[in-house]
Amino acid sequence: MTIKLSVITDEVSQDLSKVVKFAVEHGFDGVEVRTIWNLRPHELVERAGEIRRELASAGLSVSAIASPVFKCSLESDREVEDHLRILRRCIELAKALDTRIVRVFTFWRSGSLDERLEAVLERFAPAVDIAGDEGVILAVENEPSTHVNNGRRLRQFLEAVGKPSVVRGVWDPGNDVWDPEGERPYPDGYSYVRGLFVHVHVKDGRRTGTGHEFVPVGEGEVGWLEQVRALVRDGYSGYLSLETHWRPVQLPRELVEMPGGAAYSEAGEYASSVCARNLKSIVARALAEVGA
Amino acid sequence: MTQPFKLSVTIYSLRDYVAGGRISVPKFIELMAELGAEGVDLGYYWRSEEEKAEARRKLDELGLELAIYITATDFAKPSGEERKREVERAKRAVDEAKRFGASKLRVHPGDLKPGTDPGEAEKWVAESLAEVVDYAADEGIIVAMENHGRHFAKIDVVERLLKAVSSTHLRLTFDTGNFAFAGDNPLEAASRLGAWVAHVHAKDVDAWGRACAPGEGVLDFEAIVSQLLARGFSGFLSVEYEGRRDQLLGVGLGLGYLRALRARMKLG
Repeated sequence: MTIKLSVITDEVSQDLSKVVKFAVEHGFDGVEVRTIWNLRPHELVERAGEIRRELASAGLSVSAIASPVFKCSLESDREVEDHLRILRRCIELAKALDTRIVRVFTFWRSGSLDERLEAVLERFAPAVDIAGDEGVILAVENEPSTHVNNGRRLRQFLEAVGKPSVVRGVWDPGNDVWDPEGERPYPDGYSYVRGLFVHVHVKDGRRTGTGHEFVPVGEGEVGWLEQVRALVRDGYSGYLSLETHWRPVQLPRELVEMPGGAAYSEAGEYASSVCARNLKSIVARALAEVGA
Repeated sequence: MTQPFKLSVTIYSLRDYVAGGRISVPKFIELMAELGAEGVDLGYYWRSEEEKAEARRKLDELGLELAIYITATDFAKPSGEERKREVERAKRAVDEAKRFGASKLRVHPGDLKPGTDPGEAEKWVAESLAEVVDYAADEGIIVAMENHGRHFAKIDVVERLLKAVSSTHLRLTFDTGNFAFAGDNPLEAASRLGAWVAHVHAKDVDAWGRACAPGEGVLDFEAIVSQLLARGFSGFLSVEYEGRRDQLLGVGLGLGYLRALRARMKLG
């Protein structure tokens, strides 16, 4: 067993056949389902058979469902209820596509995790029960616009939940580049989450005078070669899932925070090709140096 | 400390990258140096004479060895005329290998054609090889015939050919996976043919009989390599990746495994 590669669908195209072609041409093992045909994951359940057939005929698997669950307000009963409904649909999709991993978030940031932990845990609890009953894994992503904003906070949250058979992490070192607490992705962020995650997102970026910008994988501040070396050394055998984010022209902030749809996918194929090539060189080098 | 074997990658492993035009041969050399290979097997996918000169410069600049020069031949063609053309092609490959500074040339015996008598085909291959090897000997080049195809990858057949030609300039490119594909045990092959081996293609086979990177499949590389070393082998193990992954990743995986194996064997 070794590291596997996938790409998030809408980082290439809204057209599934183009995503499949991309994944096959790059020798990837699977795709991670976010938006396809301008439909979000919870709107794709009825078309799961079609997705399944198209992927199977190309020998591709589904690495995870990139759900938008709990990218919503912690304070709104209505939004939380809506998102629990979205979660149930995403779990249906996950089962239909043979993956156990459903990526989720921890509500739009309304303060530090230290201040908001109890409230987040309370709102998160029903989702844990649903996932436990359904036999899937809620994979919580470190995302700076949410309460779990970096690797340290991801560890803090997972330890507070304390249900490793149901709730694990998605390690997204590229998100640390815009962490409000300024965590360095590798080795700092990784040292907190090591062994606690089931999935990895791959993007890169750098801080600028006014904020941050996304760049091709391997050209930013993540230190992807060192990060992948560590993953190989630690025996990680899950997916590295390409979440390009970079485009030749930077994407507007609102699209980055809620990615999906045709505007998001525009120029995605080119940008993702550049990043896929970079990522493969990095992984090949790490594998050759460390030995799987 | 002397390494028990050296690490190479055949350019055929990255065929989609190079033949597909995504990278040039010099770029292949650069990539393999980045992955820590100590040599490369070259000979395919040239686009110009300038590219050859640049590749030679790149090898020197990066300190990589030309582990072996490669050409594909078929000496099992029923037509004598066609076999003659194959022999001439092989001689030109000897010239090319020499110009490139290689000491070894990999050739294929050929493929047994439907309806052809195996004994007759082996005779054709042995005669053709003998002529190529004579020519190569004068040029100071070792011909390293690969066990390749189905019939001509079998231990018995390879042994008969090597003995029939019986020249110090005919040796074996030992392809671990090809023995398995032909239904033979690579470990037995290492034991019986080890003394002839000049070069190794490291290729693994999975539980379903498909090619994969060394270390991914079921072959016992440690035992195979131990047998070869015990019989005097001291050359290159060259990753030949024919699996389903991205070819660069497959090569990385193979090199990493062989490097770890080498470290283990040195310690042992």
